[in-house]
Amino acid sequence: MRGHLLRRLPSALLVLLVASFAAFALLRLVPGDPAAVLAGPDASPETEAAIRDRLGLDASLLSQYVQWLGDLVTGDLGPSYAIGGQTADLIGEAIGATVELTLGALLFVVVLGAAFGIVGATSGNRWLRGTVRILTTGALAVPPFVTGVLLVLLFSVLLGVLPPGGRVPLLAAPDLGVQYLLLPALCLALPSAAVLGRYLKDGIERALGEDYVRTATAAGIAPRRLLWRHALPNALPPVVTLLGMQTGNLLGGAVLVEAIFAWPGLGQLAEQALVRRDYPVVQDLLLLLVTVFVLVQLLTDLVHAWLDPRIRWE
Amino acid sequence: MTTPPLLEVQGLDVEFTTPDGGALHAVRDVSFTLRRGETLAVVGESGSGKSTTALALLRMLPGTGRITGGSVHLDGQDLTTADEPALRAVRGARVGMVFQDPMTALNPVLTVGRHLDEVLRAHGGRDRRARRARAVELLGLVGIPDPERRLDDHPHQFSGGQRQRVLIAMALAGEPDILLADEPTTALDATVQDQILTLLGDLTRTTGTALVLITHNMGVVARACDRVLVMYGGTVVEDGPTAEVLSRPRHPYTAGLLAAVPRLSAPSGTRLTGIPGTPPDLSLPLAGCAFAARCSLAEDRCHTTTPPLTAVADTGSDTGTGGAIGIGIGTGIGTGTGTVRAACLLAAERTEPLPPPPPPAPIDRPAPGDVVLSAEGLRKTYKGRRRRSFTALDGVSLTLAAGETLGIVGESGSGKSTLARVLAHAHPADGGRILLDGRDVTRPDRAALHSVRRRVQMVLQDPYASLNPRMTVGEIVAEPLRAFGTVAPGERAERVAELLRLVGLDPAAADRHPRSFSGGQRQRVGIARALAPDPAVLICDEPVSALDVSVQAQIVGLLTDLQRDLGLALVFIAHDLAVVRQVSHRIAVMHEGRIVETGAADELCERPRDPYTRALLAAAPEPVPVRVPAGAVSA
Repeated sequence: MRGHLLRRLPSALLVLLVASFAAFALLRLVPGDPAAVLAGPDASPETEAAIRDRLGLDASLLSQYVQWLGDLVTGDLGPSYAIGGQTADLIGEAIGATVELTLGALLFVVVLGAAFGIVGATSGNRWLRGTVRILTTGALAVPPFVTGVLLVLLFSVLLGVLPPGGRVPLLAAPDLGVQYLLLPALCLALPSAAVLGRYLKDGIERALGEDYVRTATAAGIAPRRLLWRHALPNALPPVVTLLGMQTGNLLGGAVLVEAIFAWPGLGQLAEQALVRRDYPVVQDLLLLLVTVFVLVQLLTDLVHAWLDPRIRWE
Repeated sequence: MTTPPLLEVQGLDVEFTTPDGGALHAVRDVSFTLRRGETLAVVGESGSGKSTTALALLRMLPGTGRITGGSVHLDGQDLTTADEPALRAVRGARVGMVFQDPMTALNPVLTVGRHLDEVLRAHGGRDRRARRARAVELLGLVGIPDPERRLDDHPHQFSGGQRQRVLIAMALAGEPDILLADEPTTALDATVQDQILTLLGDLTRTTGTALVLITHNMGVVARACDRVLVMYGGTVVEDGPTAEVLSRPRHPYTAGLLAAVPRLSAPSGTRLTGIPGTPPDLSLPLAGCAFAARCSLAEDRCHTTTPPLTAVADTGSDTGTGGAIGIGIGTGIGTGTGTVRAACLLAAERTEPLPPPPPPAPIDRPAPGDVVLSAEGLRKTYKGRRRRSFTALDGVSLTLAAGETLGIVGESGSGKSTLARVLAHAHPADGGRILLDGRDVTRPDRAALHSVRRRVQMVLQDPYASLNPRMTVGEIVAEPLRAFGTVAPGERAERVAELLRLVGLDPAAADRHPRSFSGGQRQRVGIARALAPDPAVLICDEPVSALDVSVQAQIVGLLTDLQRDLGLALVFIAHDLAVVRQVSHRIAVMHEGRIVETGAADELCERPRDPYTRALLAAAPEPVPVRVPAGAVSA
């Protein structure tokens, strides 16, 4: 297990390095100058130059990049250009909200995906299987900004049972926090849950047709056990891989969903920072997302090895 | 003092619904009985309904399959009307099943101990520790060394033969009255097959379990069972004591099937015997005898009257022992135990046994010419992860002349397929030299590789997987013509038609897709594709091992005719020594990446020098009754 992690480490670091370069270069390629934004439309060229000098933007791009990497490695993210305060503090405040949203969504993905998959593959009721198929197709086809609005219309405006936006930290007030979390998490989760459900359904159906299920049937094993002990464990590995990739989608989708539900997370922060050309905040955020993604992939590999003994012994 | 039969099948009918909504009548009016402790072989070719019958007994038919008639009584209980819980109490407890492919029949994520534990638990084993002790005992019983420790291993840590042993242990876990084994040795090497058959024989003898062994292999029948049921086209055509049926077949199909089994004793350069034609289309209604269309003895009434399965007259024991087949029947067998029943109008009236098949006809083939392909010290190593590597070829040298067939035999993992791929330049060799027409082509440049591929073509094993299902037969055969540019685009259709005629197919086949052809016909398409660029060397990697014996003779005959007419050099790779001897001029025996013995085909089979060759020859099952019946063991 540790050997496996060590083998993956160099490529993970390489991914992070490439991502840091991409994040840095991308921002410089986007038109717009942070100094100009900060100074305002009426500022004199001298003022702009002074700001540029203060932020270190007149240094060469290479030295700016190296400077940033050096700061990252030493753990000093530095001040934000435009929003005010330290970058680390800004991210620290927002990250809790996004983690909460993403984990909530992940829970929905797993529960709904499993339900879609298992019911779709094994229910003897044609109508139920058809309903699941329509639900997953719908969840996949409708984009989050539409589902978000529909959910708010239904639960907040018509039924009036859930708040339409905003956030109360879950850890501070669990009962109230859940009410604020439900809609955005569901909205974020639906497309991924649909994809997961489809994969799981196919996986279970395929596994139920395998020879070892026939062997177990011939040995008098009950259908429930055929599903849970034989088919499901064999259907899971590809679904876990998919779940790992969907986590990346959830993080990306959070930006949009946070905007719909006024959820004060990283997505909101990223939007603000991007508009104001706050280079350090945007760069650090992008790199953070990539880091999380890389970690999730490593985790996926470990879960894989745990699920499949053939990988474990390699 | 007749005891009621343990299992009684009466008029069983099974149908499948085809994708276009039609009915496929896979099993038609099958009746047989099984007594306690009896060993019964059900033999037949693909599509004969033997596996479907077995699955229908336990109501485990896949997909759209359903029982449409008849009954299956197990000790008086009708399984065709039993509910699910009752069936589960029968499956695994009263009837244990073993399937064909041990590589896929065990769940890869569960340990072997879990597999056994699950069966024991499903049939009432309450105490966890007692179940574990029983699991250890079962593994020991089927001959897995160190069973206590191996219990916690996963299936992939066992060899194919060991996995089949584990599956047998699972089937025996519930101490069943009947062990139903569906082609239990087909996926295994001959030496392993031998061990598994011995194990099955020993276990059924010591436990008193009745054995139903489903197989297509007459050698396995002869080796393992007292009684045999021959199936064709979903019907039972003959049923009787093994020794009697194999030495004096009454039904023309049984006789044809026996004659089609390649014999190790048949000399090199002779034709395999086959049965002309193809098995019946089960989606059509059947009038008369299922075999009538392929039967050389058929009369008009055979096509209209369905022959009942009736006892045929005892032909006595002094009218010869069936000529070519009855070599060395063990003494004491065939002395009137059980009657022979056959579903043949003519057999019911005949008193003489069927005439023995003519001896294998020699092929008139010219002597081999100059050497076209030779290899010197070929090496190929597959690199695994973490410094593990596998040497598939370890210094292999050979020569092949125009018009010559070189047979290559060996068990799985011996390197035969790797050799084929290296010779055809599908894989590069790591060491050694390959000479084609005297030129070194071991590491050809792009242009040279192109011309090498034109001269050396391959025929692959699996005619179902090796043809692209989305292309028509015409497109498949034309593809090499396009790739090599040997034929002008306007003349391709004509050349394709010519190639199809050459392999014995109707040129009209060009417009159809592979799925509408039988296995034998598909292999003809594969051969036509290989012949398209006018190769000098044809490398055939197990070209007939996926085909039924009655069809394999047609394909082997086609290859030898093509060799004679086109002067092809053939590399014929197979695991069946008997086929290889008949088609090959010379044979090379491979073992662990080396050629351990090479020589003229007859010489090598009659006077093997290497111990491994001797082991291979000894393990090949012959369709001659040699089984000593129960009770006569200690005599």
